[in-house]
Amino acid sequence: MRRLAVVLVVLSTGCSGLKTYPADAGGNLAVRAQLDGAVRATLHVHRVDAQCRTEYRGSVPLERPVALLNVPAGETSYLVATFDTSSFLSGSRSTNAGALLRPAAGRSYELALRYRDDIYDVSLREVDARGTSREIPRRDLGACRGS
Amino acid sequence: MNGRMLVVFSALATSACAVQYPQSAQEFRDYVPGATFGKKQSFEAKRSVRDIARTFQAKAPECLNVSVRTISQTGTSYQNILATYKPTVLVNGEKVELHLQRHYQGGGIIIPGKEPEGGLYMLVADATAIDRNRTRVDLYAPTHGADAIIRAVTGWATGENVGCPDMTKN
Repeated sequence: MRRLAVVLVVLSTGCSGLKTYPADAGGNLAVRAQLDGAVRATLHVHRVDAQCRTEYRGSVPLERPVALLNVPAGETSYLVATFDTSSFLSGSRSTNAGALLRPAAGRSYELALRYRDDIYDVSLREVDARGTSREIPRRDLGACRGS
Repeated sequence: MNGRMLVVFSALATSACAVQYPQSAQEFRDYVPGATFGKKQSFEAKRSVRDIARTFQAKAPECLNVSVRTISQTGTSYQNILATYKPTVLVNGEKVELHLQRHYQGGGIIIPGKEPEGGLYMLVADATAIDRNRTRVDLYAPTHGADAIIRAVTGWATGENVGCPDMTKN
């Protein structure tokens, strides 16, 4: 699926309409963000049903190096990271990257987001009960619809 | 590079009467070295061409198969432009090619000439085997407005950085 990024040269302010996704210490997903100073990142969580339809669950502004979220095990979720930049001359810009995740019970996950010098990277790892970690290939929503 | 710069780039690069955009990757390769706003860069990557092919095949669809919508608004005008990017990776024995095309829609953008199917060529990267573990990479791209893409493709070729370019910065 083709992703859409948005450049808003002039952006009117207004209500964001985003609801907060709960982030707490008991979560099975650790989100680590390493960002350039001028970049703001937000993680948006969607539930995905068997027909690959999404239902927005909430968002977490990534203002701390690590955020812990509880993503339901046994359900497919679609995690969308947005990177927002803004400057007087070039306006506001937003780019995003999505990843499907179906957590297994008893396992934890790490989502690493990096944005440096206009290059970003999103990677996902699964950690089992023994602490063994493996990378999970990032699949966007098109992979769900194509399967 | 925004739409206005695209038109300027194209107009300066061609004669005033007949705008002839490169219609193929080969025409783009021939055109860029002599263009005012084009450049060819070459470097050697210490990786096999097979590894580079695998990286290009994985990263190009993941990172470059995107659309970017640009909305600009002033007190008297409103512009909404959709740029659609199309990456193509070709693997042919000891050579791998990455082509990137861009097509604009809306916003009053006028392409004063024939646009190839898939959009105007924006970047071509050729990776050619030198030996089993070294590959020559030639990058053809504009001098402005493609910095993030050039750095990303360079990182994919060298294996030093496999991140995606922020396509809103072009």
